Amino acid sequence: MKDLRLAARLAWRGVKAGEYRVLLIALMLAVACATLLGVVGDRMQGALDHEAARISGGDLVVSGRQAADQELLDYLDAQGLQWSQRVSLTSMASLDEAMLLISITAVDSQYPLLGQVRIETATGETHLAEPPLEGEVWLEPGLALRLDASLGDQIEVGDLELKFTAYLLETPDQSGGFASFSPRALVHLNSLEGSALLGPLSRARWNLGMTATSQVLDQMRSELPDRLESHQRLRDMQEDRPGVARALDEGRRYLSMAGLVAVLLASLAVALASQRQAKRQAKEVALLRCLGQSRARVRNLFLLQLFWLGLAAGLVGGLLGYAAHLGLVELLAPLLPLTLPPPSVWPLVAAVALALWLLMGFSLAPLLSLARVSPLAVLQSRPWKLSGSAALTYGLAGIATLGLGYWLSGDLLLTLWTLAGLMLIGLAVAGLGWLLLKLLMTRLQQLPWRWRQGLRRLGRNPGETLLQLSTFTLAFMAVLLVARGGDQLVGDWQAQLPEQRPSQFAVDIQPHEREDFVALLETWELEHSQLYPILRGRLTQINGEDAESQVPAASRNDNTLRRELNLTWSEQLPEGNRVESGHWWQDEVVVPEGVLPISVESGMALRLGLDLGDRLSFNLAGSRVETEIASVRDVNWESFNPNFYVIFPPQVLENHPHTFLASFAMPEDEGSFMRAISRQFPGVAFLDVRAILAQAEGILRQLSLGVQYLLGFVLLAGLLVTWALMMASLDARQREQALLKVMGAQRAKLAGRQLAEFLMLGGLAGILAALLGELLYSLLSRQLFNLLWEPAPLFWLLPPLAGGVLLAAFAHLALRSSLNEAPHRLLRRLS
Amino acid sequence: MTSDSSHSTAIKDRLSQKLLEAKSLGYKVAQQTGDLTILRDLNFQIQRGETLALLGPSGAGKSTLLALLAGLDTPTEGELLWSGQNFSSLGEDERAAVRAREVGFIFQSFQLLPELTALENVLLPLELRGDKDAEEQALLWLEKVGLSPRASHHPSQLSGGEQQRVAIARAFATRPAVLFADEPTGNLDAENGHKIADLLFSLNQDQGSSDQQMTLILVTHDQQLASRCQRILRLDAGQLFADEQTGAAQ
Repeated sequence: MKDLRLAARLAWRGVKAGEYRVLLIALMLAVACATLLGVVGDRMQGALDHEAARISGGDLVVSGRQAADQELLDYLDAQGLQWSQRVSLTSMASLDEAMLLISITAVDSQYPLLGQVRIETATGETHLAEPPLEGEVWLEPGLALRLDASLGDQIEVGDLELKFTAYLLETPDQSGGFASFSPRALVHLNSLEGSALLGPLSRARWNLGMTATSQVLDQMRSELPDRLESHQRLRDMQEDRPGVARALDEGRRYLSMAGLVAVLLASLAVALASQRQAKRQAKEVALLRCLGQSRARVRNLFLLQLFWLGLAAGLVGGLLGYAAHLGLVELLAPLLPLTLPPPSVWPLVAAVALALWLLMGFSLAPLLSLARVSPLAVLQSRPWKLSGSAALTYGLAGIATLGLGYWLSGDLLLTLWTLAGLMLIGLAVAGLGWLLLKLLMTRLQQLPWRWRQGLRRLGRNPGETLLQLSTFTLAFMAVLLVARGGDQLVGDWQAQLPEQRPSQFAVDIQPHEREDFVALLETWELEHSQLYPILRGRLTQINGEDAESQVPAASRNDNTLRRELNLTWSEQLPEGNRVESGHWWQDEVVVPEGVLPISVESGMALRLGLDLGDRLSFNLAGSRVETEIASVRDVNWESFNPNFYVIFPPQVLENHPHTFLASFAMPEDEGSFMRAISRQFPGVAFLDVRAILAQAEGILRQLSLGVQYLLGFVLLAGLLVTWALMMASLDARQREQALLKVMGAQRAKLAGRQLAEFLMLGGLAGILAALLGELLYSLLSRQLFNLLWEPAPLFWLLPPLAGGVLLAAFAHLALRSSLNEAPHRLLRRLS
Repeated sequence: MTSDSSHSTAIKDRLSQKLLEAKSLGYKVAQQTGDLTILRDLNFQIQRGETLALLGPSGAGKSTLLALLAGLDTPTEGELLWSGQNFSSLGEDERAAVRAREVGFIFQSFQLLPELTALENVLLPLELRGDKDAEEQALLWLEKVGLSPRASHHPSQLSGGEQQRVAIARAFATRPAVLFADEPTGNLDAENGHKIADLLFSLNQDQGSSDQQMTLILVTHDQQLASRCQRILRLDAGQLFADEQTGAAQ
């Protein structure tokens, strides 16, 4: 207890004297970044859940062919849930001569349960949290256009007559990707009462969305299934992840990576600062031992000082991280839920734990070697050489880094791979750096004096130079990677979309309309995809057994088993698809008689545990089709092309009832085109994905801003590493400068030599960082973020220049005082 | 020697005020070319309260002998008895405990901690001992060495002479029974050297009058400084070739 207080005083004195500056700043930065990452990560996960719930129309949704009975609704009320019921169906709508097949969503008075509806009325645009009134209908602008309807018109829908009172611009459950076609017309559920639309023949789909606290939701997840009727099932919001949520998820991964890089860089700075700290404290330890302190007490005093430093850095870093998180949340505000999580002490506790963990990993080994310093060191004039166990030093650092990576990423394997990758890169840098240094050394005599001297200094101690080079390169590379990502996240995503995006999808094109439809698109000179046939079929059996019993337990509720799948046939492998295993039709595909070969999407195969050669039975409108998996395909779902889980070979299914699907770009004269196409093909339905694209783009822009924000921290951490490394060799450099000055070297010449040395070191690090960073980015962008690599010359040119200038500027700042100081004063200060 | 007889010797030594006794003391360093002998067959005694100089040219083995006498290292040959107890039989931490209880140090290169102020440097050993009035004592000692106005200055802001005065205050602050001074004026000019020597001996005398007499063991190559001690042990090439009383008053 006495030593705890004494250690606090000693630590405070060290802090006041600036002794622990680099170590403390590095620790605080690491902790701040980790806290920022942790808190924002949690909130983004919350946003993802919220987004998914919003799109599904509730945290939990019960869907069925009929309305939920009163008993169930009473039960939900008793449990304190908020709920809203809606029904989706298709019907003919007409106005004067125009007639169209439309889809209608009828909602109750609680709609929308989450989010708001955006409509445009005669008085302008507005957001509402309520549904249309009874007897009214809100139409999407495209639909109004096709019906040639104006506000106030009476629209006939089935046997109803409804007043068109507003354009429906956006509903919270709109951006559901391609799986859920958004409602074109919104009406109140009461309007449908007694109408034939909900008659026994209707193919209406009822959804009962509900929200509640997470506790109640958990209870409902386990209790509700027993209360449902056979036609009903419980859907979890995480099924059917919408495209927008996917973009958000990718962005979150990028943010995590940027944060992780910042934390790792700051940890590297902690390690460097700890090493220097231990070297500087060797004489202090010797003095304490000389003053009669036992080895154990000296060790304890230093351990306790570390504890206090960790505690302080953890608390301050944690608070800074929390404050920084508010900044990031402000930037990402439109993406995140509005309610702040209640303030909790846990992030602070975690921050302190992290600070102590980092100190344990990076400072403990130097400290233990410090305790071995002999008291005789005080009688010696030369600096004491610390002899630590390399196994302990690297072992503890390795454990700390692994633990840190696992804590931040939650994935041990990924962490191991990342560390192995970093080590490989470090070795590659050292190897390449050595080659480059050798190459430069052969040109030594042709260089001017300053450069020659600077290069000689680098070449004199290749071990130290290569260590510095590797560290600088890793730091530069990390900054580059994050900067490149932030800059390109939006750019690359846009670049992979075709110039003329197929923003419209047309479905339900009948076989006899096929040629005329293509002809119309050609007349309007529109970019369009091929026409894909669509058949609806349900997967019933796998290898002769009930499908559900053959899949992994986690996939029993998979959508591919629960609903009818959109199947197609195609002679060619569709664009954006790649055969992962097996063969496409052109190659030899041998299957038994009466069995059709099929190609399955890799995600579905993985979820359902399917492999090449597995037999799948489908029910296609009552007839059974036997198939065998001939190939597994990787599909780029972000391509905004029509994509399918299951593809059949051409011709074999032509006798089964089918329609066609196509995507095309909208012409400038949207109105005339839509009127023309609706007149000619009244049964064809259209989906406009421009709103979804715009929404995804908006999200990416904001995420990109978030990455830029974190880039600030990565940059700071990179600068800190540079500073820590510079400080590590500062004493030796200053001593050398003083001696050279004593021997008559002029200040200008010394400054020139120093400039040349650091310009070269920084330049080399920049070149290597650009080279390896670009290589890594091209790999990462494809593997982790589904982006296509695009060359960016700025990122190749900038690093060598910036690296050289940055290091030279740092060296100037660090060594300025010793350059100007009288040599005898400098030598005295250093001794 | 049995433990009983060693115990009775220790009691006798304490009664006779014998502080240190070297018996055939030697120190060798193993090198690739063979053993290098630093000290050879030294035999002498030091009484409590003596002021003694270890005098000799550079390389004579003075600093090594000081390190052995202070228990910073152990001899490779012979015995060194501290108050009758064999130093070699004690572990490193036990020897450290003896130092903490009885020993103070003054070094040629001052050995002040650069990040601490003058006051904090003097405070350090008092705080390590857990003294309640550490700060008052430290200030008092700074005043005695004439540096109280510079208490908040860091070593880099002090001259060599001033730094050595802080080191002297630090050494005396714990009122050690034995003070080892390793070339205390070695890094100073003649004038400052004289001042430091005066301060050292006057404080040593003050201590003597106020408390039990302090033993001062001084390592130096300066004949003039050595002659201010009551006794001089002359060393050359690791051997003791003279043990003289100077007649200096204490």
